[in-house]
Amino acid sequence: MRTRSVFRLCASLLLVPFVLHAQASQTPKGKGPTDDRPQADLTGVWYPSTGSTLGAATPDNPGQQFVWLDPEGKPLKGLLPLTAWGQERLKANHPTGPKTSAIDSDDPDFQCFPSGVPRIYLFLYPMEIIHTPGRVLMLFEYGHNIRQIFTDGRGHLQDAEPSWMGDSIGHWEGDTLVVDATGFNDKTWLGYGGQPHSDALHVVERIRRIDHDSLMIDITLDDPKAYAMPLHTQKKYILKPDWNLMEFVCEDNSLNFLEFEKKTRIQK
Amino acid sequence: MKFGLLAYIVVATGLMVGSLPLSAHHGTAEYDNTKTISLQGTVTALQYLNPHALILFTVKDDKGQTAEWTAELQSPNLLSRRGWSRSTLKPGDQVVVTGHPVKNGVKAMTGQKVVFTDGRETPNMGLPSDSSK
Repeated sequence: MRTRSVFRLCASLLLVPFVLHAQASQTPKGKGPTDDRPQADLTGVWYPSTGSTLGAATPDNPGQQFVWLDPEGKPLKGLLPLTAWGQERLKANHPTGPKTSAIDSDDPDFQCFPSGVPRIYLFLYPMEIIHTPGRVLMLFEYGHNIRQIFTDGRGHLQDAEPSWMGDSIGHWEGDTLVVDATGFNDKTWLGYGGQPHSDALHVVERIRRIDHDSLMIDITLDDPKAYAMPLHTQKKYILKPDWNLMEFVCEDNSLNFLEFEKKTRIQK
Repeated sequence: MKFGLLAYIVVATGLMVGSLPLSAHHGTAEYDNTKTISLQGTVTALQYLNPHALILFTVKDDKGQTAEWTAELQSPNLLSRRGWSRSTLKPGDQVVVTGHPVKNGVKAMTGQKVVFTDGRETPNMGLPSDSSK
C-alpha cells in the first residue's frame, strides 16, 4: 500500500512539468518578445515571518492570522465587514474552536484541499519563488501548492472554471511584482476562523524585497459579494538561503494522523 | 491516577515553556493551554510523519502501573530544520516530556520540550530562530 502511494507520488511529480506545459498551451499566449522582464530578483526560499508586520505573533496568534485594514488603513476589529451573503456563509462554516476539534471542523484545509490566496501565506512553511521566462512560480511546501504568475502580457482566462488557487497575472512596476488574481472558487477560507469569500474574489498583491533578506507582500482583497469594502493586509517573508523545500503530502499523512485526532477530539 | 517521579507538574502556561504553535495541519483546540505537565517515561516509538510527529511513550505511576501516552510535536519538516531526525528518539530512551494536556482526559499532550533523563537535551522544537524578524 505504502509502495503504491510512493509510486503514485513519484509518478505525479514526474507529470508536473507536462501538466504545467499543457495548462500553458491551453491558455492565451503572451506577447512573446515584449514579455515583461523581471526588474528585480525575487528568487529564493522564503519563510513566513511572525514578526512585526500585520499578523505579527501574539500569545493567541502565532503569526497565523491576518490583521485586516479598512481602505483608510485602520485595523478592523471584531467581525470583518461581511455582506448579508458573507454572514450566511460565515454561519455555515464550522472552524475549529474551544468546542470544535479539527476532526469535527469543515475547514477545507483539514481535508487537504488547496489553501487558496491569501490563506496559503498563513502556514508556517517555506515558499520558493522561481523566475522563468514569462512566468514567476511560487512553490509552496505546505500542500505542494503551485502558483503560476504569468508575466508574458496575457490577460485573465475567459470563462474558465473557478479554481482553488486562482488565475494570476503579473507585471513589474520598478522592483515590485504586481499580481492580479481572479478566477477563484468560493470553497477556501481567508483564515482558520472560517472567514468566507466568494467566487468574485479579486486579490492584488504587490511583492517586493524591502531588503536583501526580506520579502514584503502587500495584499488588497476586493470581494463585493462577501465584503462591504476592500480589505488590506500584508505578509513578510525571510530569506532562507540554505533551505530547500521538503516533501509535505497532506493526503498521505492525514490517514496516519486520523486515529490520533479521533482520540483527542473535544467531548461535546 | 497519580504518577510517580516527576508526577504531574502543573503550572501556568508560559512559565516553563513557550506556547509553540502546532501550526500546520490543525489548530490547538484539543489542548488545554492553561496547563503544562511534565512526564517522565520510556520512548516506545517516534512516529516521524507529517503533519505532526508523535512520540509514543510509557509512564509508570507510583504503584508501578504503566500507562501509554502520546505527545504531539511540530511537523517533521519544521523539526528537521531545527536539527531533529527520525532517530533523535529511539525505543527505550528515558525522557521527560513537557507540554499541554488534551482537554478530554485521554493520555495525550503536546510535546513542547523533550529532554533525556541523563541531562542531554533534544534540539529546540520551535519555529526558526529568526522567524520573528
